[in-house]
Amino acid sequence: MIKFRNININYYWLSTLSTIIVSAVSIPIIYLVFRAVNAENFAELLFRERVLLIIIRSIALIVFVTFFSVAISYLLCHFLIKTNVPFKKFLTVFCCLPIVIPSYVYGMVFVDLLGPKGRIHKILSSANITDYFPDLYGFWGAAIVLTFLSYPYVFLPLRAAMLRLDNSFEDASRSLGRGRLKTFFYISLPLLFPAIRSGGILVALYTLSDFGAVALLRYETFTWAIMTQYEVGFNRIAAAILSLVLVIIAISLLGFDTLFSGPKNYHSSSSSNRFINIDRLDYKRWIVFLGICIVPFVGVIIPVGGLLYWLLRGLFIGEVYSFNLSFGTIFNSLYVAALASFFTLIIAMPIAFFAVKHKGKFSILLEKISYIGFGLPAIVVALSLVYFSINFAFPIYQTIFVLTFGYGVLFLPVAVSAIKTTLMQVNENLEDASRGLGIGYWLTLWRITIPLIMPSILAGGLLVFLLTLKELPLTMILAPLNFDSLALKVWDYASEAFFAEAALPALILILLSGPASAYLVLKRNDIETSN
Amino acid sequence: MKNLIISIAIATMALFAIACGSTETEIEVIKEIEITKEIEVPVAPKSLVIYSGRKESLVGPIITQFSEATGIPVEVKYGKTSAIAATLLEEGGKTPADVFFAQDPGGLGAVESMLATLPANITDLVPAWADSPDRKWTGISGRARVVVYNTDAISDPATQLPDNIYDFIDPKWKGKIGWPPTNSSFHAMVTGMRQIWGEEKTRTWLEGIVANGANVYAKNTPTVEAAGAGEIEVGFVNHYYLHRFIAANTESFKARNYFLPSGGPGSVVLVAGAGVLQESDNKDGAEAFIRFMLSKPAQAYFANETYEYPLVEGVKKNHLLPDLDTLNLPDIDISDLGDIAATQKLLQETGALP
Repeated sequence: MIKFRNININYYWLSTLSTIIVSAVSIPIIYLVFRAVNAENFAELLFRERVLLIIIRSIALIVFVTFFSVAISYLLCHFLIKTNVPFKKFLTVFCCLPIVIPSYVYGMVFVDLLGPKGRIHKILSSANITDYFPDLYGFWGAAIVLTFLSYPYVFLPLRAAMLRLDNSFEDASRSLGRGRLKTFFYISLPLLFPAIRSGGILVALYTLSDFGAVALLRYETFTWAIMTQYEVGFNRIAAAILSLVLVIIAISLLGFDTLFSGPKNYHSSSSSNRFINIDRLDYKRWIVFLGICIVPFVGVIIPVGGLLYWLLRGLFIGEVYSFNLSFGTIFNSLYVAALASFFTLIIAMPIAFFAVKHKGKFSILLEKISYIGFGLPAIVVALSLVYFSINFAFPIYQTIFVLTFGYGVLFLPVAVSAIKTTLMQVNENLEDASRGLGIGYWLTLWRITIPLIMPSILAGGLLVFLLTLKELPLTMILAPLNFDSLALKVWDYASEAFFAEAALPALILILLSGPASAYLVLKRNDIETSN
Repeated sequence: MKNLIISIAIATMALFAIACGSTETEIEVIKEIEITKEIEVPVAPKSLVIYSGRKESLVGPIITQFSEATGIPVEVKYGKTSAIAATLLEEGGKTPADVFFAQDPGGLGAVESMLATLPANITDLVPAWADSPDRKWTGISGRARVVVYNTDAISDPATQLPDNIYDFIDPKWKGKIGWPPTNSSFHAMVTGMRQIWGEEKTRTWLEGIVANGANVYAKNTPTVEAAGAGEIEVGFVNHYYLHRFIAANTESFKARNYFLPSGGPGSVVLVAGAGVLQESDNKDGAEAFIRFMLSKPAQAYFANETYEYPLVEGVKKNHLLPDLDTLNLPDIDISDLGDIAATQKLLQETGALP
């Protein structure tokens, strides 16, 4: 009886806290509805053939990018974990680096190098190798760039899940006569599905909201259409109406995601077999090595190489205007990124705990709503916070608080999903044992659960850190006066065609992100569930 | 204990002395500025909040010069003109901004209802075509619309390129044109077309260019880059980006500007401009800022550093640019180019924009 009441109280606290947080991060949606109801030409704007076409284009891109992100991540994880491929750690770190590269930077470098008549094409045709070069503008270019920039969202959780996978299930399946492929589809895939799903939905939302890459690679998506409303017509109302459509697309994606509910919370028993059978490949391991190398080559070496080329060209051939870059700028970038990741983790934890520990319609609904910010163009989120903070919280307008809150709205799902996937796998027997020994609900959380999932909490925080470092549109609008950051510098110089000057802060940005991503990979992935 | 109190007292007095001393010197400095610069500056100048739609890499140095010359401390927010205009509209009457320094008339037009009327002795500094007729904002520097062309494909622009931008709808240009249809300077040009040519001719032109399969670029810079790479033969852009590509790549960069000789909307000159916010509590500082930007040193800065056209009489343009007088400017009012709602509709209907 007492226990029953306790659970109710805990439920009450967690649900209240989550509701407050989710309401706060829903400000952009409230704002959009508020703006859209003032519209007169609602139907005229919305029900056009062109709008439908653009929705289809966006969805095609999302499907492609998500599918290939998952496929690439699975192959990478499989070969990096289950074979004796050389330079494993080095490769693994390299494979997660693309996440730190801003899409507007990649887009520019990609066009410069790989556009029709780009540098690579020029080299090939001047060396008389081939005069043919595929036109990568449009769907294919956008799809390639976005896939290679966003697959780490799947790669990271999938790798963690695969390392944690209880091999006894696969072993049992194989020993009972099921083939490799069948075991994969019936055993491995369902067990890995929560990780694939949580990464996949982030990739889908990222693709939906990206503007930098699709604009530079000239593929018209829904976010592109929204940005056009702001840039062409300074038309906030039309932009709001279109953004609401985007919200609906995001909700559909999230709803679609719940269809694959996958297995319920699962965890290993104490007698689990987590010894990984490694395929000992002979000379083939070098082929696998080269195969894996393609991925970070496209995702990291191409953009970094392109930036280095800009920088060196500026230094040795052209004239460099001025490297107006101070340590203050670098510090600002690191400082807000650290603040943002700390804040986002704090608001992510109640939502993740509520969704896992009290799984139900309400908790799932709250969790899904918390994802929407990631699918909206950042400018929409930023303008909604301008409106709300200047009218209802004036003293903190244009301070670091609103900026941090904005990052929280954008990146909350990244932290939630990182925490949630691991939390689902915590063996509840441990928590029950703790409570059975008379330790309260919250103290158990603090002493048992949180230490168990600490690596994932840190990983979530680092992801938010990396995303904040490269974030641009929201920073531009919500930053305090006289604020300066690396991402702003890159944009400032690049959009005025100062390429060498843009390359330097971009390279520093990538360099700073390196250690964080190395940690993401080399951290201890296991949660000790046994003994 | 006594010793401690005494030492604190001495320290406090010393601090006071230092503080008083510094106030005196400050006042002296200010007086000096008043005499030498002949600009009226209040004893403790209020800080000026500038929202700049122009990049720090371009206008940062001249804003710093303003602050140093006048002693007015500045706080700047840099961003895209469209994003800043949208921010101002959201902020409404509570905006902390004193000045909006925009990349194009469209941005200023979007927030015109929030701008105060400028004194005539500011707007008189620039030619009548370069400011808003009701003096809501003034142009600060000029940029010409040009056709940027690839020098490999077009060796003799005078014979190979048409005199008028209209003629690019000729099917022989199929697959050779690039444009940035979301760019606001481009919209200003199309608005100019609607005024000079009328709706129908503009529609025909847009449809013709779309039918010629014009490559769509995100903005001016990638268009110029594509012309240099030979991805396109011609592009419709603002004149000054080319000079930075040449600076970065040396003279080997394979694109040059072509100023259309017959005039018309293809060679309209646009402005970057500034206005003062109605709700500003520092209108004196804001007007001092605009006056400074229209002073000879600042105008010379725009001519030499950003390759733009100075708007104030007596300031030389960059030697790389043709004279404004020789450009055969069409007779339209720039402020009307800020009216882009109908232009946007036309662009959507012709398929140039989604």
